[in-house]
Amino acid sequence: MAVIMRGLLAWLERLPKPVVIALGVVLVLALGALDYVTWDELSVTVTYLVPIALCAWVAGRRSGTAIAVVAGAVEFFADWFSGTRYTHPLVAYWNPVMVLVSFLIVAHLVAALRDSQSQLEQRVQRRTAALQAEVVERKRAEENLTVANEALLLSKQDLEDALRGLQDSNRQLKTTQLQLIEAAKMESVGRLAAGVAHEVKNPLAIIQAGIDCLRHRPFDHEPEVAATLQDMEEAVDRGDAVISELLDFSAPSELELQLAELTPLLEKALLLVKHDLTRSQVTVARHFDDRRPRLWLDGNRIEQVLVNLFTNAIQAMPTGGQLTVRTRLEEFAGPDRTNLAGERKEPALRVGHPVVVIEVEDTGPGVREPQLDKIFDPFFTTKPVGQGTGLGLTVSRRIVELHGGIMRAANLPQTGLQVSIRIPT
Amino acid sequence: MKRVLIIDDEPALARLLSLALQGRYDVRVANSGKSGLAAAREFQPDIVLLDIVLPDMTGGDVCSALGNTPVVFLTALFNSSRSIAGRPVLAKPVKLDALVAAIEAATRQSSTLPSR
Repeated sequence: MAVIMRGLLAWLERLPKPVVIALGVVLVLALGALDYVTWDELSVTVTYLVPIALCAWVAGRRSGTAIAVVAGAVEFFADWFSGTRYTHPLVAYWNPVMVLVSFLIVAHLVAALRDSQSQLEQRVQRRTAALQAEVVERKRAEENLTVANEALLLSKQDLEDALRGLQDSNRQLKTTQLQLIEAAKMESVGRLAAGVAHEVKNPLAIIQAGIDCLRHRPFDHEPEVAATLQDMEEAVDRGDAVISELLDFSAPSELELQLAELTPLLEKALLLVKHDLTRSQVTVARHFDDRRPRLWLDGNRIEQVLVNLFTNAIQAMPTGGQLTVRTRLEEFAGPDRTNLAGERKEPALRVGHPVVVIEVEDTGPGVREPQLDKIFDPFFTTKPVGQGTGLGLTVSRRIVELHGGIMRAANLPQTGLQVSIRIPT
Repeated sequence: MKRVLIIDDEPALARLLSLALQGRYDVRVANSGKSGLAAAREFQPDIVLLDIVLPDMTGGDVCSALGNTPVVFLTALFNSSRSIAGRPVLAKPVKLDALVAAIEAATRQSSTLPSR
């Protein structure tokens, strides 16, 4: 029933208002005709309410009122013409009025209901629209939030990138600072050496000349005199060695490069330390590359480096051992990050560049880790007082670096120290 | 006997070197550039042992003033055995054997040159 009513109302609401009113009037007239024909045997009066209510609902208060008035009149005249007679005069006058009033009340009530329903609907619509607007607004805010979030993520990444950049440049700055400190140290030592050398070498020369004067004199045959002269000469040599190394340290800047083979140089350097090898009962193991590598080098300087490394190795084995000398050709594999001793500078060598490797190994006790970092530092020595100046390895490394190469030192797994040189071919 | 002139501003060194060389060579000593050149004119040495740092003039100037006279430089300034102006250089302190060898080598070379 409710469904039929809703359908009927919907159909009526789609019709133009005059049509609805006309339909209402037609229905009322039809009911009036029925009232007249049936002589009041049917309760037709009540059925007038249907077109009144429908018109009031669909077409509004005024239309409803109009239909109610029409229905009241139709009902009165239908009764009149059908000859209905009321026995009581009060009923005869009042009945049509009461019917009309009832119709009007129904029309007004339905119209009022319809009005309040419309208002309710409008309110619901307004509220829905407001809610929809709110939803749209919220969606927009969410979108904004997402965009802002993405922007934040991006700027976070930017910040992280910037941080990484900063860390990198900080590392570079630290390296540069270390290099600067080292360079400043070198420079001051160099200046000191050049200043001191002249003042020390002349007195040493006087003592040496004095020793040479006293030799081959008659009293030179006395053993004590000979021994004293020998001691004095050794002292002069020691002093001279220190000054010479200081000078090398300050100015090993000019190289006389020649394309030369390495193996004869190694043999010559080994020959120069032959006496020390024999005295300390150190045997030599040679593992030279068969390809006999040739490279641009200053023979005297490289010989100086090799003699230095061999002497260090022999001094590390005072009661005998084995000196291993190895050469090979390889491609430069890059800086060794596991052992940074001697590699504080970025090497001039490019990865993949062909290099000649010279490895010098002893079977001595090696160098303890904290000291290993320092063995290339100027004036650092592990030797007893008077045996080393602490400049040998520093000068050697500088000479290798002047050749565009690098020098490293590492303890061997079992025992002993390995010093390696890499020079580009 | 070959004549050797030593020019060095360290009197003790010059004196001791001349003592050490006596017997092998006829040695004369000077302690400055000018007195050295004067001695060279008078003494006509076969070789001059010349310090590089002198009070009145540089060893280089003395060397060029000496003309063709063979020179062996003695210096306390550096180590290397590099030569200066084609003349051999000995680093101080120098041992007698090395000094004698240098003198012999330098005078042998000059004897092959046409005489002055």
